[in-house]
Amino acid sequence: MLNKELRDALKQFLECLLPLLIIPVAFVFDKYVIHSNWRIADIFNYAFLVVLVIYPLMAGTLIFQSEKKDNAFEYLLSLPLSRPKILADKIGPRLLFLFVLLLAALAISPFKDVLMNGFNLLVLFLISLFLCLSYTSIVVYFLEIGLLFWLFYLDSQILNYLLWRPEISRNIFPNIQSQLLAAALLLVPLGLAFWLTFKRFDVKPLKFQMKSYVFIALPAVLALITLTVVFVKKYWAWSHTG
Amino acid sequence: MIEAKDLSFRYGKIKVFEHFNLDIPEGQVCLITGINGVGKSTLLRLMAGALRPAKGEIVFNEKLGRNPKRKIGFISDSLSLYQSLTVSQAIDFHKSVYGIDAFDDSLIKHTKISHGQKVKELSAGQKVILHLSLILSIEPEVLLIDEIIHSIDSYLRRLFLEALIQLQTQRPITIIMVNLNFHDIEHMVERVILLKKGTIAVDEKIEGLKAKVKKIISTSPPSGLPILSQIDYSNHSEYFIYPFQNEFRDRMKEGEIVDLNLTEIVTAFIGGEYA
Repeated sequence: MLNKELRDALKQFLECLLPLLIIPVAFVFDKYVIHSNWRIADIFNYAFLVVLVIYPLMAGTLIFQSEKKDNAFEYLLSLPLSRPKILADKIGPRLLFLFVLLLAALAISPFKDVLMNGFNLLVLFLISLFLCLSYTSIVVYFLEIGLLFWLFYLDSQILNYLLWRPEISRNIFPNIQSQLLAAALLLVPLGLAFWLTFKRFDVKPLKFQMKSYVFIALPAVLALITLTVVFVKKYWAWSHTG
Repeated sequence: MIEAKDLSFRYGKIKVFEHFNLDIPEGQVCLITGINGVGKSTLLRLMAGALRPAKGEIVFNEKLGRNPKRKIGFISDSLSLYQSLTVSQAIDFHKSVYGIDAFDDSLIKHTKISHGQKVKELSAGQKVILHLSLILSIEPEVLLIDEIIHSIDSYLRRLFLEALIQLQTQRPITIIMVNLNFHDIEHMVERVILLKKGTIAVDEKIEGLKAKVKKIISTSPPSGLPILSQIDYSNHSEYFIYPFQNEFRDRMKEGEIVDLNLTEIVTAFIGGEYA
């Protein structure tokens, strides 16, 4: 199982590196068409940033791609594999390649703070993973991920303001405690909904298996949105004054 | 060997099984039949673990150990396998999941399957043979076979059934089949279970069933006999009687009593469902 998942994860990883192909194209485009003297290193940094965002998103989203594409859920679920084992074998290789990317980011330094952004990418991976069982429309799914990631980002800013305001200056990157807390508020209910769904997951149509998302994830996200709306004005006013 | 205990299952609001019970002893070859949508494949999927019951449980003999799935082979009608893998990768995957070293590919050698071919490139029949080969490699105690036999060509069907018969002669193996085409498997089946609206309508050993279901060819309906279904022709009708008793022979004033094979028996029952 692990070998297959390593192979699948490597394939996804290589597919996500495709944006790097833009580097020679952009270089040639600049040299012969727009003459802006782009540096290869700059083009690489932008392309690499795209890869960094795309990989965790796709790794989480497509974690069950082979089962969906090959119609192999029935086969997988009839094998003598426990649900935690299936999940561990699927998540492990994908996390490995995410860390490979982050190590590369550490070496290349496209970010100001690799640790902080690395954490953000991990959150993006987990949001995509926790939602992957629930989607029926890819457009809605990506909108959901975008909304939830934005919610996490905004909440970490607001928590930063609410809990550590006296110690920080305005508009700085939220500290790691705020990020951890915001991630926990979002990921715990999402993760719980995902796990409860996956624990009992079978080959029934998806619409019959969404109970945990409807009764746990959705109310939790709505509550989080409500709290965000309540505090966002204060935070906004604070962050835009003197 | 396998027991469905107080099993309940539904698709949303559609109830399939409610407090369903069934016991299949070790070594029995059992045929589950019924009209489309009655829950035959659902029952197999519940037994295989591909579906989870809302209530109740499927209990396996302790002989199958702590993880009964290690000794259960399931061939579904959707031929579910990792289609993107090559045959060789599919075999390796299966071996790694079950922790086995050996794989006997003698069966697939007869089917022009090459190890480098992708599973999705195989015909339906070749996929069935590949899946059966994978299952045989785990030395199963229980085989669950969904409605696939009729979808493969006669050569592969013979190969498939010969492999099953050979397996049966080696050791007692419990086989549960869902099928609507009974001609090929008639000689293997010991017990027939007819499902009706989520319950067992008929549960008989094959000899008993053959004795209890008869066809009467007559120009007028046999009075006082339990007619299961009937087929009308221009100058006569065929009446399928269940349960038939020998004393009926004396009561009959006209008509001919005909013995039935399994296909005709099950067709009569299914015809009765639609009547």
